[in-house]
Amino acid sequence: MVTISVCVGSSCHLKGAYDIIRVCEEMIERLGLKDKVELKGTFCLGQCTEEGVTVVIEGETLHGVSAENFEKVFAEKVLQKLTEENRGNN
Amino acid sequence: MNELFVEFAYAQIPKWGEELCGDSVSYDRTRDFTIFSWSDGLGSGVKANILSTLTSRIIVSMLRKNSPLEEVIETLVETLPVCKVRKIAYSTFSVVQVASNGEAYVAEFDNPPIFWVRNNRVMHLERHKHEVGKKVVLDFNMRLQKNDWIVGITDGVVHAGIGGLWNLGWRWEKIASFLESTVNEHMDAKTLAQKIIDTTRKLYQDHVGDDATCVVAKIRLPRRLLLWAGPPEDPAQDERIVERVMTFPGKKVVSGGTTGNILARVLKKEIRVDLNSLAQDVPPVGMLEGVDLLTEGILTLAAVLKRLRKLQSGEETIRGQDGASRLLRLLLEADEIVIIGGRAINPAHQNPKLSGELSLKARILEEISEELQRRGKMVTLEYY
Ligand code: FES
Repeated sequence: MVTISVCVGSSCHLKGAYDIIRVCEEMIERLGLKDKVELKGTFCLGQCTEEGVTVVIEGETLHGVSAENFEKVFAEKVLQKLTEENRGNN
Repeated sequence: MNELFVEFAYAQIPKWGEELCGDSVSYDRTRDFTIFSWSDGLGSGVKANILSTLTSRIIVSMLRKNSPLEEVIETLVETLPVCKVRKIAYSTFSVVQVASNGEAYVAEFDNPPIFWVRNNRVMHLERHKHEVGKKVVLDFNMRLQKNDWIVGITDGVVHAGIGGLWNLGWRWEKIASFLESTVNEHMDAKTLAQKIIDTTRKLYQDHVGDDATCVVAKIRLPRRLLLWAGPPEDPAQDERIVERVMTFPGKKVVSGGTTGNILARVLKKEIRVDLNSLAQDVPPVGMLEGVDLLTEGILTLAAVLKRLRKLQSGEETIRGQDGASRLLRLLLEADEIVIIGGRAINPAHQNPKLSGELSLKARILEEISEELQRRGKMVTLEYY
């Protein structure tokens, strides 16, 4: 199970958190990862001064996330973690 | 905190063929009491309307300024012009003043007697004759309690159907039994007033013979709401405010991520964001045990203000599950609202898009409270 928390505070909302959540939901659906990935929202993480939206994936805080680069972030972070998890299981 | 609240509404219909109703209703509320007055200007149309408007407004505004009721009525009765032909005052009136402990004073001048409904019975009232100049005003004191109703009507209702469906019109006694079988605890004041006027129209078979007005006051407990929107300047105050919020006797709403986090920290609870409430223009709401609603701050409040401004009075059902709709719905349901604003500078808000955020938020809160006051809500705005 991988947990993704997207900040939906005031700043991050203005910087596109809504679109990221939409893209993320759509990807989870498309890749059939409903039981493997948990998508959550959080209020301001105190990182508003950073670029882009703040997203936390399995405890790792990422800045500069946007709807455009989200697919890449998802592939790098989430899919990678899932593969690791799988290996661990076997 | 055992104060009573007067939910007030009225409905009216002008005489057939007239555009203006010759009856007028005025209403005002202060921290200590609610006053309402209705008046029937002799005749119909513009002249009647002007006279009755003057009458009901004078009463309410003089009372509001704390002039003793005696004096108000004397001034009024002496000032009202007497019709040369008919030798009577142009305008009738009734006035009801209810203090927050339920003590009420009623004065009536030439209007049909009010109805006092308790436990589905119209109660008997002992009226005192009170001579002011050559005019006779009836007045009395009463002690109202929760679930009591005061219903006032003008002549047009009493006479509904006269010579047509009913030989003698609807008549006071029949209206009393109508009230006894119609009123119930779950009905609101507006619905009852409208029912009386709808029935009036039916009895007249749509040819309304006289201006008809029904005013209704429902006595109930106030619906209170506290909105905490911003952390205090001095963090040492955090716990005190949390305590204030959590012990508040009514709905509790928190607006602002940081403010919500303070609450969660002090209560040792966790905030969960409800992604189902996601909307394009308003960030989603959070869920926190013990509070009725937790929203994001500035964007949600700005959306609430924008919608509040656009809202027509009367059109008060808000749909929508986003944070702004939910907050607006709770605000409109409440009678008494306490807003706690915070003066803390949010270090996270160095974002140029949100610069000037603090003064902006204070302004939005002020404008929200003005809008709510315009809708008859009792609003207190405090800063820490
Ligand atoms: S709003 Fe996202 S970090 Fe502040």
